[in-house]
Amino acid sequence: MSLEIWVEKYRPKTLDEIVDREEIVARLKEFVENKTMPHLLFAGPPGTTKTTAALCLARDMLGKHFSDAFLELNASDARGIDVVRGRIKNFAEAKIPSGVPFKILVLDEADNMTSDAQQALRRTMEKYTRTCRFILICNYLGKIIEPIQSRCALFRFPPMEKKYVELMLRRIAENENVDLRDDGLEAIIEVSQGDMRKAINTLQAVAAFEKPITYDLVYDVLGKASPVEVKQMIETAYKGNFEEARRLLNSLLYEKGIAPSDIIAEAYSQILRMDGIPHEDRIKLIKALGEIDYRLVEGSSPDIQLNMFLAELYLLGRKYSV
Amino acid sequence: MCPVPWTIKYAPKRLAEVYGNDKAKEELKNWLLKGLWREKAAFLYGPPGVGKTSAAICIARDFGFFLIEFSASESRDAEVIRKKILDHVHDSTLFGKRMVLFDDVDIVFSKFDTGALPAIIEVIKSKRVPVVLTAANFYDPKLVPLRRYSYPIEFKRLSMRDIVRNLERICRLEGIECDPMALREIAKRAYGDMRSAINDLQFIAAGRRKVTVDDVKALVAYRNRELNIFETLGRFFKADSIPRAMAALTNSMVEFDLLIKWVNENVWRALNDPSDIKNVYDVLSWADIYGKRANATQAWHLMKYMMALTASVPLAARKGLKSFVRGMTFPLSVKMASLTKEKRDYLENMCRKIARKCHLSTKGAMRDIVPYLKIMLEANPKYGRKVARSLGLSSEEINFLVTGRLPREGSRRLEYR
Ligand SMILES: Nc1ncnc2c1ncn2[C@@H]1O[C@H](COP(=O)(O)OP(=O)(O)OP(=O)(O)O)[C@@H](O)[C@H]1O
Ligand SMILES: Nc1ncnc2c1ncn2[C@@H]1O[C@H](COP(=O)(O)OP(=O)(O)O)[C@@H](O)[C@H]1O
Ligand SMILES: [Mg+2]
Ligand SMILES: [Mg+2]
Repeated sequence: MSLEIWVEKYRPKTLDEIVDREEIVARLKEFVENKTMPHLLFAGPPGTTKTTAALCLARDMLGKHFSDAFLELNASDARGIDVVRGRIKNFAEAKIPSGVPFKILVLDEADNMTSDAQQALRRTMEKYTRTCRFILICNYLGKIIEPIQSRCALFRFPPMEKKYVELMLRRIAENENVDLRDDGLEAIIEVSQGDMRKAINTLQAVAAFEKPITYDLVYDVLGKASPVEVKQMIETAYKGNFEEARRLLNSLLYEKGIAPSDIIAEAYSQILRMDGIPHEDRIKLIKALGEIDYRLVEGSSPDIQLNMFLAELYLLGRKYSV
Repeated sequence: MCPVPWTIKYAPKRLAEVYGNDKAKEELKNWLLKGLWREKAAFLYGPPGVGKTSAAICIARDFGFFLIEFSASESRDAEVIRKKILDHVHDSTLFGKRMVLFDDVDIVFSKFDTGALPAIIEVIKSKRVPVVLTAANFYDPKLVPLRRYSYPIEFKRLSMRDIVRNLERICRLEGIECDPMALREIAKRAYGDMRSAINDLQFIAAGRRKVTVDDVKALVAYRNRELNIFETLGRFFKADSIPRAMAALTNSMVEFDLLIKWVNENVWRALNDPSDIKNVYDVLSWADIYGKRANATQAWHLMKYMMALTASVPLAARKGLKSFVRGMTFPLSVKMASLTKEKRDYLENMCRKIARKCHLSTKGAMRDIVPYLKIMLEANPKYGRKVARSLGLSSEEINFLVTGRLPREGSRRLEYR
């Protein structure tokens, strides 16, 4: 097993190495052939090739001058207006190094820029188009102001298709001499939900055990909200023991350290499957989960919002028990 | 002529003269006499006017320590602390029997934090001199870094009896004739705060030889009291209108953000009915949402909805809340999030390195790489260490991931500011 972090080791270096994403890659290759491109905006959930595609495109486009004509910034760490007026503007307005058509600036996680900073970016993008092309990357398109969206060609990156995640995992497992069983593969695909980074990270973490990778091992290791625990929490609340359900929730959140979003995702699939629950309740619970999920995206407190979900379950369950 | 305030004139001179809080006084003595002070500072906390500062001053005097005092009203930034203490701490001839008091530590950090906190910690860690800290609240988020170096000693509100006894003593010494019922009335309104009781007595007695209940009722207003968390929640659960609930929350010594967490953690204990539980958490979740919206948009006027909705929580329960609640617990989410600032900075620094290597943000590295790295380190330390090294982490940083402990001092000075 190689001693690097696999997500980086197996990150494609050129557009040709990218798995899946055929249409996008085809268009990016046209840009390379014609030695031109508009400003680009890549949008999609985590681990879906956005950054990789931007890096590959820049490398293919800039060739051996890559390091002179390329700048990558992560807007989550450099998000203020001062960065736009400082580093970004300086890079954009500087002369084009010889041998390249323009410079390329990748602004990753651009949706974490303040809207002021985005406003400040508008002019820079226009004024220096000839010398510098921007690739903006975001998870939530809605957080990118419209004037910026309108200056870019938009590429959407949906979650990775299962068969391609499988392909990558098998390829890596073989290369690293890891005994990846079919049900282990299935488990990794299940937990990573179309997020290639998560899939590869999970594979490496589980491989560190130097045991055959099985379904159980994957769930054990991740301490992930395993279906059983979430199911137990839901049933406990529904059957009328609010206190115990809260204890289970606290244990998932604070002892096992499981991400609230994982608990919600698991609760969602449990609610769909749960037996002996009237349709109208199921509908209410799905609505409640959707609402909570959205609230968490907005930044609300997981502990408060999840308590609310338990309270809803408790109430619905108790209606029938009397 | 300006009369001496009676709070000063009649301040206790020895620990034995400090009324009430016997357990706390005992703990304080133990801390000093049994050498606990070499490990940790005594952290005296509790509501105002119950004798925290007095106890600190008295114990120094009782055992013959010269007290170096830093109060909130003077500058106590790192520079001053260094000049007054740290520079002499190893000079035992100069630095004989001294004790250091940082009074009201919670106040200083909200106004100006110029490295005072690490300097205080440095004083404690020198193990050369007993350090006493006082504050309203041990759980103040601002003071998290101090907790590890502190031995908490709680001071509670004083009983009516303790206050009345002290008032009687003062009346006797001042030659005032005082109706016992009047003293009780003053004590009641003081709500366990000796200082305000003495002040009220002096105020009423001014120009009188005799004090009656009617004088008290006419002249002494009820103060807005800062309630501790249990008092706050007790009153809050009992509230029958939004203004009352709001009053309970705003008169608390605990900050609003933290109060919501306490309510979230404990309110269900006061409820029986499932639909009440649902309604209460529904309202609370909306309060939370407005807090976050106000923050996200910087539209601070939205905060009022957060406050009003939180204050509506007790009213959302149609069948009412139990007024007596057992076993309330500290909010877990806060406990878990209270990585000290020092540790957070350290972790963040580490994640910045990882971020650069993996084309992620610092937060992204914390979320997407660190957890997996931890698993590898645990399952297969040799392998995990090599992977961590390839990401540019030092062996100290790797140890931090494994143990959660910062590298020992010496190799690394405190890096503040
Ligand atoms: N327990 C007590 N016994 C006797 N006198 C007291 C007691 N508590 C307070 N007093 C009187 O009130 C005055 C103020 O008390 P002290 O400074 O100790 O309060 P504190 O607990 O430090 O309050 P704060 O949190 O406001 O600093 C004292 O000088 C003394 O006159
Ligand atoms: N299409 C792909 N083909 C091969 N590997 C991929 C692909 N997409 C993502 N990966 C893997 O996942 C990791 C994260 O992808 P990345 O492009 O950084 O995601 P994001 O969309 O969050 O920017 C990469 O380092 C790479 O290992
Ligand atoms: Mg990315
Ligand atoms: Mg004091």
